[in-house]
Amino acid sequence: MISQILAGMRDVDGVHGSFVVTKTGELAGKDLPPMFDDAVLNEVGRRVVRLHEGLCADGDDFDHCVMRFADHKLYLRSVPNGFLCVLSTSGVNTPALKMALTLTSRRVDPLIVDAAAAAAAPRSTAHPSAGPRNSEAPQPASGAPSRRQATYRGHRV
Amino acid sequence: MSLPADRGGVDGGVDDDGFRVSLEGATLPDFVQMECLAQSNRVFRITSGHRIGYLFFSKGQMIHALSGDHVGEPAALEILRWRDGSVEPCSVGWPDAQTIHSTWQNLLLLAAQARDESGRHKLVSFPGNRSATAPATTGSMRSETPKLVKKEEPSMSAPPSSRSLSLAQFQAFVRLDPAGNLISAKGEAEELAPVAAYAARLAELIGNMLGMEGFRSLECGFAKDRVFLHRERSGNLVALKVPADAEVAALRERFGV
Repeated sequence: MISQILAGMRDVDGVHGSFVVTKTGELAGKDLPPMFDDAVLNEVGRRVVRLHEGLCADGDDFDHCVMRFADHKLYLRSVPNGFLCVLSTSGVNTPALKMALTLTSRRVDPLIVDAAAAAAAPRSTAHPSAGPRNSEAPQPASGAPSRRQATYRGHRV
Repeated sequence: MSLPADRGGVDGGVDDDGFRVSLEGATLPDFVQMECLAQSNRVFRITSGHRIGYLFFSKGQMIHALSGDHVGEPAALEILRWRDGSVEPCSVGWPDAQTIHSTWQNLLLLAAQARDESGRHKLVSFPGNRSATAPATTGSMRSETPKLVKKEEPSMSAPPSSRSLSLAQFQAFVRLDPAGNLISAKGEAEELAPVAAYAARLAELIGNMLGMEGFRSLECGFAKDRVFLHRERSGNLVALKVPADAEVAALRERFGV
Protein backbone atom coordinates (compact mmCIF):
# COMPACT_ATOMS: atom_id res chain seq x y z
CA MET A 1 0.00 0.00 0.00
CA ILE A 2 2.74 2.45 0.94
CA SER A 3 4.72 1.63 -2.17
CA GLN A 4 1.67 2.41 -4.29
CA ILE A 5 1.35 5.80 -2.66
CA LEU A 6 5.07 6.46 -2.98
CA ALA A 7 4.93 5.62 -6.68
CA GLY A 8 3.08 8.89 -7.16
CA MET A 9 6.27 10.75 -6.27
CA ARG A 10 7.78 9.61 -9.53
CA ASP A 11 5.26 11.70 -11.42
CA VAL A 12 7.64 14.56 -10.70
CA ASP A 13 10.41 14.74 -13.26
CA GLY A 14 13.77 13.85 -11.77
CA VAL A 15 12.49 11.75 -8.90
CA HIS A 16 14.18 8.36 -8.83
CA GLY A 17 12.11 6.95 -6.02
CA SER A 18 11.31 7.24 -2.37
CA PHE A 19 11.12 5.33 0.86
CA VAL A 20 9.65 5.74 4.29
CA VAL A 21 11.22 4.98 7.63
CA THR A 22 9.76 5.11 11.10
CA LYS A 23 10.93 7.44 13.83
CA THR A 24 13.22 4.66 14.97
CA GLY A 25 14.70 4.20 11.52
CA GLU A 26 12.99 1.01 10.41
CA LEU A 27 11.99 0.78 6.80
CA ALA A 28 8.22 1.02 6.44
CA GLY A 29 7.92 1.06 2.67
CA LYS A 30 9.76 1.90 -0.50
CA ASP A 31 9.35 2.67 -4.14
CA LEU A 32 12.88 2.31 -5.43
CA PRO A 33 14.75 0.19 -7.95
CA PRO A 34 15.51 -3.27 -6.51
CA MET A 35 19.20 -2.49 -6.18
CA PHE A 36 18.32 -0.61 -2.99
CA ASP A 37 17.85 -3.57 -0.73
CA ASP A 38 16.06 -3.35 2.55
CA ALA A 39 19.13 -3.83 4.70
CA VAL A 40 20.76 -0.76 3.18
CA LEU A 41 17.60 1.27 3.56
CA ASN A 42 17.23 0.18 7.17
CA GLU A 43 20.75 1.37 7.84
CA VAL A 44 20.05 4.60 6.00
CA GLY A 45 16.93 4.94 8.11
CA ARG A 46 18.89 4.69 11.32
CA ARG A 47 21.26 7.38 10.08
CA VAL A 48 18.36 9.56 9.07
CA VAL A 49 17.10 9.27 12.63
CA ARG A 50 20.51 10.21 14.00
CA LEU A 51 20.70 13.11 11.59
CA HIS A 52 17.30 14.25 12.79
CA GLU A 53 18.37 13.92 16.41
CA GLY A 54 21.53 15.89 15.74
CA LEU A 55 19.84 18.71 13.89
CA CYS A 56 17.00 18.84 16.39
CA ALA A 57 19.21 18.69 19.45
CA ASP A 58 17.62 21.84 20.85
CA GLY A 59 14.17 20.28 20.79
CA ASP A 60 12.58 21.69 17.66
CA ASP A 61 11.50 19.15 15.07
CA PHE A 62 12.54 19.96 11.54
CA ASP A 63 9.95 20.25 8.85
CA HIS A 64 12.16 19.28 5.98
CA CYS A 65 15.77 18.63 5.16
CA VAL A 66 17.42 18.69 1.75
CA MET A 67 20.81 17.18 1.09
CA ARG A 68 22.57 18.13 -2.11
CA PHE A 69 25.16 15.81 -3.59
CA ALA A 70 27.18 16.04 -6.77
CA ASP A 71 24.41 14.80 -9.03
CA HIS A 72 21.51 14.06 -6.72
CA LYS A 73 19.40 15.38 -3.93
CA LEU A 74 17.83 13.62 -0.99
CA TYR A 75 14.73 15.19 0.50
CA LEU A 76 13.56 14.30 3.96
CA ARG A 77 10.12 15.23 5.18
CA SER A 78 9.38 14.68 8.83
CA VAL A 79 5.89 13.37 9.53
CA PRO A 80 4.47 12.38 12.91
CA ASN A 81 5.24 8.68 12.51
CA GLY A 82 8.44 8.78 10.51
CA PHE A 83 10.32 10.28 7.64
CA LEU A 84 9.53 10.37 3.96
CA CYS A 85 12.76 10.25 1.95
CA VAL A 86 12.91 11.10 -1.76
CA LEU A 87 15.86 10.58 -4.09
CA SER A 88 16.03 12.87 -7.08
CA THR A 89 18.34 14.45 -9.57
CA SER A 90 19.86 17.75 -8.57
CA GLY A 91 17.79 19.50 -11.22
CA VAL A 92 14.43 18.29 -9.96
CA ASN A 93 11.53 20.71 -10.10
CA THR A 94 11.59 21.77 -6.47
CA PRO A 95 8.14 23.36 -6.16
CA ALA A 96 6.52 20.35 -7.79
CA LEU A 97 8.46 18.03 -5.56
CA LYS A 98 7.45 19.93 -2.43
CA MET A 99 3.81 19.70 -3.41
CA ALA A 100 4.13 15.99 -4.07
CA LEU A 101 5.92 15.57 -0.75
CA THR A 102 3.13 17.31 1.10
CA LEU A 103 0.39 15.24 -0.48
CA THR A 104 2.27 11.97 -0.20
CA SER A 105 3.30 12.49 3.39
CA ARG A 106 -0.32 13.07 4.40
CA ARG A 107 -1.39 9.78 2.89
CA VAL A 108 1.59 7.79 4.01
CA ASP A 109 1.86 8.88 7.61
CA PRO A 110 -1.14 6.94 8.98
CA LEU A 111 0.19 3.75 7.40
CA ILE A 112 3.75 3.92 8.66
CA VAL A 113 3.38 2.22 12.02
CA ASP A 114 1.37 -0.72 10.71
CA ALA A 115 3.61 -1.14 7.70
CA ALA A 116 6.74 -1.17 9.81
CA ALA A 117 5.27 -3.77 12.12
CA ALA A 118 4.21 -5.94 9.20
CA ALA A 119 7.61 -5.63 7.59
CA ALA A 120 9.41 -6.50 10.80
CA ALA A 121 7.42 -9.68 11.46
CA PRO A 122 8.51 -11.76 8.45
CA ARG A 123 11.97 -10.24 8.23
CA SER A 124 13.54 -13.12 10.10
CA THR A 125 12.38 -15.60 7.45
CA ALA A 126 11.83 -13.91 4.14
CA HIS A 127 11.36 -10.32 3.11
CA PRO A 128 8.11 -9.70 1.23
CA SER A 129 9.13 -6.39 -0.24
CA ALA A 130 12.55 -7.48 -1.34
CA GLY A 131 11.43 -9.30 -4.48
CA PRO A 132 13.25 -12.11 -6.20
CA ARG A 133 16.61 -10.37 -6.02
CA ASN A 134 16.73 -10.66 -2.26
CA SER A 135 15.88 -14.33 -2.38
CA GLU A 136 19.18 -14.91 -4.12
CA ALA A 137 21.21 -13.86 -1.11
CA PRO A 138 20.57 -14.21 2.57
CA GLN A 139 19.53 -11.12 4.44
CA PRO A 140 22.01 -9.86 6.97
CA ALA A 141 21.12 -9.97 10.59
CA SER A 142 18.63 -7.39 11.67
CA GLY A 143 20.29 -4.03 11.93
CA ALA A 144 23.50 -5.04 10.21
CA PRO A 145 24.31 -3.16 7.03
CA SER A 146 24.61 -5.18 3.87
CA ARG A 147 28.11 -5.38 2.46
CA ARG A 148 26.89 -6.84 -0.79
CA GLN A 149 27.89 -4.60 -3.65
CA ALA A 150 25.50 -3.20 -6.18
CA THR A 151 25.67 -0.21 -8.44
CA TYR A 152 23.29 2.62 -8.99
CA ARG A 153 23.91 5.09 -11.79
CA GLY A 154 27.48 3.97 -11.88
CA HIS A 155 28.01 4.38 -8.15
CA ARG A 156 28.58 1.55 -5.73
CA VAL A 157 25.84 1.26 -3.16
CA MET B 1 35.99 62.96 6.44
CA SER B 2 36.43 61.88 10.03
CA LEU B 3 39.77 60.43 11.02
CA PRO B 4 40.29 57.27 13.04
CA ALA B 5 41.35 57.45 16.61
CA ASP B 6 44.87 56.69 17.70
CA ARG B 7 45.30 52.93 17.38
CA GLY B 8 47.53 52.74 20.35
CA GLY B 9 51.02 52.54 19.00
CA VAL B 10 52.87 50.32 16.63
CA ASP B 11 51.30 47.14 17.92
CA GLY B 12 48.00 48.39 16.60
CA GLY B 13 45.83 46.72 19.19
CA VAL B 14 42.14 46.52 18.47
CA ASP B 15 40.53 49.71 19.55
CA ASP B 16 36.82 49.23 19.99
CA ASP B 17 36.38 52.87 20.83
CA GLY B 18 37.64 54.13 17.50
CA PHE B 19 35.83 56.37 15.08
CA ARG B 20 33.68 55.14 12.30
CA VAL B 21 35.43 56.02 9.06
CA SER B 22 33.92 56.89 5.75
CA LEU B 23 36.33 57.51 2.92
CA GLU B 24 35.13 58.93 -0.34
CA GLY B 25 37.02 57.68 -3.36
CA ALA B 26 38.91 54.96 -1.56
CA THR B 27 39.44 51.52 -2.99
CA LEU B 28 39.92 48.22 -1.26
CA PRO B 29 43.69 48.33 -1.95
CA ASP B 30 43.68 51.75 -0.31
CA PHE B 31 42.08 50.20 2.71
CA VAL B 32 44.61 47.35 2.81
CA GLN B 33 47.43 49.84 2.57
CA MET B 34 45.96 51.91 5.37
CA GLU B 35 45.63 48.95 7.70
CA CYS B 36 49.10 47.66 6.98
CA LEU B 37 50.73 51.04 7.45
CA ALA B 38 48.86 51.36 10.73
CA GLN B 39 50.40 48.06 11.87
CA SER B 40 46.97 46.92 12.94
CA ASN B 41 46.04 43.56 14.38
CA ARG B 42 42.51 43.26 13.18
CA VAL B 43 40.17 41.16 11.10
CA PHE B 44 37.80 42.63 8.57
CA ARG B 45 34.80 41.12 6.95
CA ILE B 46 34.40 42.03 3.30
CA THR B 47 30.91 41.58 1.91
CA SER B 48 30.17 41.88 -1.78
CA GLY B 49 26.71 40.80 -2.83
CA HIS B 50 26.32 37.30 -1.48
CA ARG B 51 30.08 36.81 -1.29
CA ILE B 52 31.82 37.08 2.03
CA GLY B 53 35.51 37.19 2.74
CA TYR B 54 37.83 37.93 5.61
CA LEU B 55 41.15 39.73 5.68
CA PHE B 56 43.43 39.26 8.67
CA PHE B 57 46.02 41.92 9.43
CA SER B 58 48.84 41.53 11.88
CA LYS B 59 51.84 43.76 12.51
CA GLY B 60 51.70 45.55 9.22
CA GLN B 61 51.01 42.57 6.97
CA MET B 62 48.03 40.72 5.66
CA ILE B 63 48.66 37.29 7.09
CA HIS B 64 45.50 35.37 6.27
CA ALA B 65 42.44 35.60 4.07
CA LEU B 66 39.31 33.55 3.60
CA SER B 67 36.75 33.62 0.87
CA GLY B 68 34.00 31.25 -0.08
CA ASP B 69 36.28 28.89 -1.98
CA HIS B 70 39.81 29.92 -1.15
CA VAL B 71 42.17 30.35 1.74
CA GLY B 72 45.32 32.42 1.91
CA GLU B 73 46.74 34.33 -1.01
CA PRO B 74 44.18 33.13 -3.59
CA ALA B 75 41.44 34.31 -1.24
CA ALA B 76 43.11 37.68 -0.78
CA LEU B 77 43.45 38.15 -4.51
CA GLU B 78 39.86 37.10 -5.04
CA ILE B 79 38.62 39.56 -2.44
CA LEU B 80 40.75 42.35 -3.85
CA ARG B 81 39.00 41.82 -7.18
CA TRP B 82 35.57 42.48 -5.71
CA ARG B 83 34.18 45.76 -6.87
CA ASP B 84 31.13 46.32 -4.70
CA GLY B 85 30.46 45.71 -1.07
CA SER B 86 31.21 46.78 2.43
CA VAL B 87 34.01 46.42 4.95
CA GLU B 88 33.53 45.99 8.64
CA PRO B 89 35.75 44.93 11.51
CA CYS B 90 34.84 41.65 13.13
CA SER B 91 36.11 39.30 15.78
CA VAL B 92 36.42 35.93 14.10
CA GLY B 93 39.05 33.51 15.30
CA TRP B 94 42.61 33.85 14.18
CA PRO B 95 44.20 31.09 12.13
CA ASP B 96 46.61 28.65 13.66
CA ALA B 97 49.15 29.38 10.99
CA GLN B 98 49.91 32.23 8.66
CA THR B 99 48.62 31.45 5.18
CA ILE B 100 49.88 34.54 3.34
CA HIS B 101 53.61 35.05 3.13
CA SER B 102 53.73 37.64 0.38
CA THR B 103 54.06 41.22 1.44
CA TRP B 104 51.00 43.37 1.18
CA GLN B 105 52.75 45.42 -1.49
CA ASN B 106 53.18 42.31 -3.60
CA LEU B 107 49.56 41.32 -3.09
CA LEU B 108 48.38 44.71 -4.24
CA LEU B 109 50.61 44.52 -7.28
CA LEU B 110 49.18 41.12 -8.16
CA ALA B 111 45.68 42.42 -7.65
CA ALA B 112 46.40 45.42 -9.84
CA GLN B 113 47.80 43.14 -12.50
CA ALA B 114 44.65 41.04 -12.38
CA ARG B 115 42.59 44.17 -12.60
CA ASP B 116 44.48 45.35 -15.66
CA GLU B 117 44.08 42.01 -17.32
CA SER B 118 40.35 42.04 -16.78
CA GLY B 119 39.95 45.57 -18.07
CA ARG B 120 40.22 48.91 -16.48
CA HIS B 121 37.42 49.09 -13.96
CA LYS B 122 37.12 50.49 -10.56
CA LEU B 123 38.39 47.81 -8.24
CA VAL B 124 35.99 48.69 -5.47
CA SER B 125 32.74 50.53 -5.52
CA PHE B 126 31.27 50.40 -2.10
CA PRO B 127 27.68 51.56 -2.02
CA GLY B 128 26.23 53.30 0.97
CA ASN B 129 25.91 50.92 3.88
CA ARG B 130 22.44 49.52 4.35
CA SER B 131 22.49 49.69 8.10
CA ALA B 132 20.93 52.47 10.07
CA THR B 133 24.32 53.76 11.13
CA ALA B 134 25.56 54.33 7.63
CA PRO B 135 25.82 57.83 6.29
CA ALA B 136 23.22 58.84 3.78
CA THR B 137 24.17 58.33 0.17
CA THR B 138 24.08 61.40 -1.95
CA GLY B 139 23.67 61.66 -5.66
CA SER B 140 22.57 58.85 -7.91
CA MET B 141 21.81 55.29 -6.85
CA ARG B 142 25.23 54.16 -7.98
CA SER B 143 27.79 56.77 -7.23
CA GLU B 144 30.52 57.33 -9.78
CA THR B 145 32.99 57.60 -6.95
CA PRO B 146 34.02 54.42 -5.20
CA LYS B 147 33.16 54.61 -1.56
CA LEU B 148 34.41 52.63 1.35
CA VAL B 149 32.56 52.46 4.61
CA LYS B 150 34.16 51.14 7.74
CA LYS B 151 31.76 50.81 10.61
CA GLU B 152 31.41 49.27 13.98
CA GLU B 153 30.50 45.64 14.50
CA PRO B 154 26.77 45.41 13.78
CA SER B 155 24.37 44.08 16.30
CA MET B 156 23.38 40.44 16.02
CA SER B 157 19.80 41.61 16.16
CA ALA B 158 20.18 43.80 13.14
CA PRO B 159 17.12 43.51 10.91
CA PRO B 160 17.52 41.30 7.85
CA SER B 161 18.20 43.11 4.67
CA SER B 162 15.37 43.17 2.22
CA ARG B 163 17.78 42.62 -0.65
CA SER B 164 20.10 39.93 0.52
CA LEU B 165 21.29 38.27 3.65
CA SER B 166 24.64 39.39 4.97
CA LEU B 167 26.76 37.63 7.53
CA ALA B 168 25.85 40.21 10.12
CA GLN B 169 22.27 39.02 10.02
CA PHE B 170 22.97 35.34 10.53
CA GLN B 171 22.00 34.03 13.92
CA ALA B 172 25.09 31.89 13.82
CA PHE B 173 27.92 31.24 11.43
CA VAL B 174 30.77 28.81 11.68
CA ARG B 175 33.47 27.55 9.35
CA LEU B 176 35.28 24.34 10.20
CA ASP B 177 38.27 22.82 8.52
CA PRO B 178 38.09 19.19 7.32
CA ALA B 179 39.39 18.01 10.70
CA GLY B 180 36.64 19.89 12.52
CA ASN B 181 38.82 22.69 13.80
CA LEU B 182 37.13 26.03 14.08
CA ILE B 183 38.34 28.52 11.49
CA SER B 184 35.87 31.27 12.13
CA ALA B 185 32.64 31.72 13.97
CA LYS B 186 29.94 34.14 14.92
CA GLY B 187 26.88 33.98 17.10
CA GLU B 188 25.82 30.67 18.63
CA ALA B 189 28.83 28.88 17.20
CA GLU B 190 29.37 26.65 20.20
CA GLU B 191 26.06 24.95 19.52
CA LEU B 192 26.19 25.06 15.76
CA ALA B 193 29.70 23.72 15.21
CA PRO B 194 29.19 20.19 16.59
CA VAL B 195 25.75 19.92 15.04
CA ALA B 196 27.12 20.94 11.68
CA ALA B 197 30.08 18.60 11.79
CA TYR B 198 27.95 15.64 12.85
CA ALA B 199 25.15 16.35 10.39
CA ALA B 200 27.56 16.75 7.50
CA ARG B 201 29.22 13.46 8.34
CA LEU B 202 25.90 11.65 8.52
CA ALA B 203 24.79 13.22 5.27
CA GLU B 204 27.94 11.95 3.61
CA LEU B 205 27.37 8.46 4.97
CA ILE B 206 23.73 8.46 3.92
CA GLY B 207 24.72 9.63 0.46
CA ASN B 208 27.41 7.01 0.12
CA MET B 209 25.01 4.24 1.10
CA LEU B 210 22.54 5.41 -1.52
CA GLY B 211 25.18 5.82 -4.22
CA MET B 212 25.09 9.61 -4.07
CA GLU B 213 28.64 10.79 -3.68
CA GLY B 214 30.01 14.27 -3.28
CA PHE B 215 28.04 15.83 -0.46
CA ARG B 216 27.73 19.53 -1.20
CA SER B 217 25.17 21.08 1.04
CA LEU B 218 22.21 20.66 3.32
CA GLU B 219 19.26 22.82 4.20
CA CYS B 220 17.11 22.07 7.18
CA GLY B 221 13.95 24.03 7.91
CA PHE B 222 12.55 24.54 11.37
CA ALA B 223 9.62 26.58 12.58
CA LYS B 224 11.80 29.51 13.66
CA ASP B 225 14.96 29.20 11.67
CA ARG B 226 16.88 27.39 8.97
CA VAL B 227 20.24 25.73 9.05
CA PHE B 228 22.48 25.58 6.01
CA LEU B 229 25.58 23.45 5.66
CA HIS B 230 27.94 23.73 2.75
CA ARG B 231 31.07 21.75 2.03
CA GLU B 232 33.50 24.05 0.24
CA ARG B 233 35.92 22.82 -2.39
CA SER B 234 38.70 23.21 0.12
CA GLY B 235 36.94 20.67 2.33
CA ASN B 236 35.97 23.28 4.88
CA LEU B 237 32.44 23.13 6.19
CA VAL B 238 30.38 26.29 6.45
CA ALA B 239 27.29 26.29 8.63
CA LEU B 240 24.76 29.06 8.93
CA LYS B 241 21.65 29.56 10.97
CA VAL B 242 19.24 32.18 9.71
CA PRO B 243 15.73 33.22 10.72
CA ALA B 244 12.97 31.24 9.07
CA ASP B 245 11.56 34.35 7.42
CA ALA B 246 14.88 35.54 6.02
CA GLU B 247 15.37 35.81 2.30
CA VAL B 248 17.55 32.83 1.47
CA ALA B 249 17.29 32.63 -2.30
CA ALA B 250 20.88 33.75 -2.72
CA LEU B 251 22.09 31.19 -0.20
CA ARG B 252 20.18 28.43 -1.91
CA GLU B 253 21.55 29.44 -5.25
CA ARG B 254 25.07 29.47 -3.93
CA PHE B 255 24.75 26.19 -2.06
CA GLY B 256 22.67 24.50 -4.72
CA VAL B 257 19.92 23.36 -2.38
